[in-house]
Amino acid sequence: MSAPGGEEGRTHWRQASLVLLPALVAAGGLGGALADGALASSLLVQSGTIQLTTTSLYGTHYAAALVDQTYETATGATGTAHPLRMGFANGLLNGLCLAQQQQILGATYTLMITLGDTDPGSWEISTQNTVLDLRSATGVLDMDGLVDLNINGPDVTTVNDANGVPVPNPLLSPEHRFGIQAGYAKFDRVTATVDDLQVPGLLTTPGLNISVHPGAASCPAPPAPTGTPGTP
Amino acid sequence: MNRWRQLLSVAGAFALLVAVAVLPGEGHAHAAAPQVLPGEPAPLGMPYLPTPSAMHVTIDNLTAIGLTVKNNVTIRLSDGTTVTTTQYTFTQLQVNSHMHVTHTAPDGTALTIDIPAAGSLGGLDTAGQPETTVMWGTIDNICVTVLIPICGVQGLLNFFGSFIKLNAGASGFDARVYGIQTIDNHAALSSTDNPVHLPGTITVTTP
Repeated sequence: MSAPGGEEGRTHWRQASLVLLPALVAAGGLGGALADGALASSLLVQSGTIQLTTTSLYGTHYAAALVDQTYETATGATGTAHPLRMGFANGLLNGLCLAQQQQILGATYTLMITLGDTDPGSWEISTQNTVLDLRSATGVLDMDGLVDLNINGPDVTTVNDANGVPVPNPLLSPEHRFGIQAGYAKFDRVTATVDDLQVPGLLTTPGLNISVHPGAASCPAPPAPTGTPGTP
Repeated sequence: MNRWRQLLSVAGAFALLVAVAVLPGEGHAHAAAPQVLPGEPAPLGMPYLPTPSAMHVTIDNLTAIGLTVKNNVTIRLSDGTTVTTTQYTFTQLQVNSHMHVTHTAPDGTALTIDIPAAGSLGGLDTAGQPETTVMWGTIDNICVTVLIPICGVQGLLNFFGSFIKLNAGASGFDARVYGIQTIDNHAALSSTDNPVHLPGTITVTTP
């Protein structure tokens, strides 16, 4: 965990420590589970918008569709967002950084999680059934194989069931919503704003770091990847 | 008389701009069966059900290779309604500058894809063979340049493209597109000519 820089920061840390403790314990548990790498785990990041950056995200059986996602604010108000939900049956990541700002006792802090290594030539994080709810993303999107644009959202496919049959409407898209289907997709140098990130299946990573920064901090700009990912 | 002369000169200019292949275009076999949920209508005229809202696609400058046109194609949308539109098939579709795609749902939710510079909706596969890109929709404007840009030549494009393959550089592309499908039979990770190469930004906005 990063130390705050000034006198005011130290005061805020003391005040915030009790509030931060549960989140850090949970995060520490995740870090402990993954500390040695190549361990089965899952990742769920929700509540509020998250900045996501990665040098490259590659996956097979890729689909995206606009969805309705209900949410509840800190004040208890509810609403419905309409993000672009992206799903990968199998995914490989070349570094990952997540940053989320939190208001604690009137002060802003940023919880930052980084996974993987710093080698832009390795896709060292592997995931299964990755789902991202996206508000915006900047980067380079490549799709290949069979690619369909504006396919009806519920008709896209990503994961298969136990019998090897594609799960119907895997992204839970309402009818008549914009969808994309591709054999594989690769996003390079991605800087995105997401509502949540879910990896309910296997997640393996050689490294995980969790830090808390005073103020509004951002993930560093991702470097360009070198080489190409292997087959997951 | 002047009107006929104008029309003939535009048609001649258009014919000069296109490189003509000797054989008419052939339809291609779609690589996958359509995926629809129980209760949904079967696709018609294209391999999947597109949404009822067409994408608005603008491209400042593009290069189309091996373009063939099939006019009066009836396609079925996901709400079960049908529309009669035009099917454009390319072996390469290179975006030379600025492509902007907008899809607006009935509730006002808009998805935009903005590609500020070059991109691709179809290229060469790893075996060096042209891929196939098929687009279903209506071109509202397209310009070709003979000394000066000549716009509104989509009618000529549809006419010539219906019986000969065209290679053309064009600008001012403005179309309502129900669906785009690209097929790469030699998809590979190391390929740098992926059929869909979109360096830019995807954004979702809600009203």
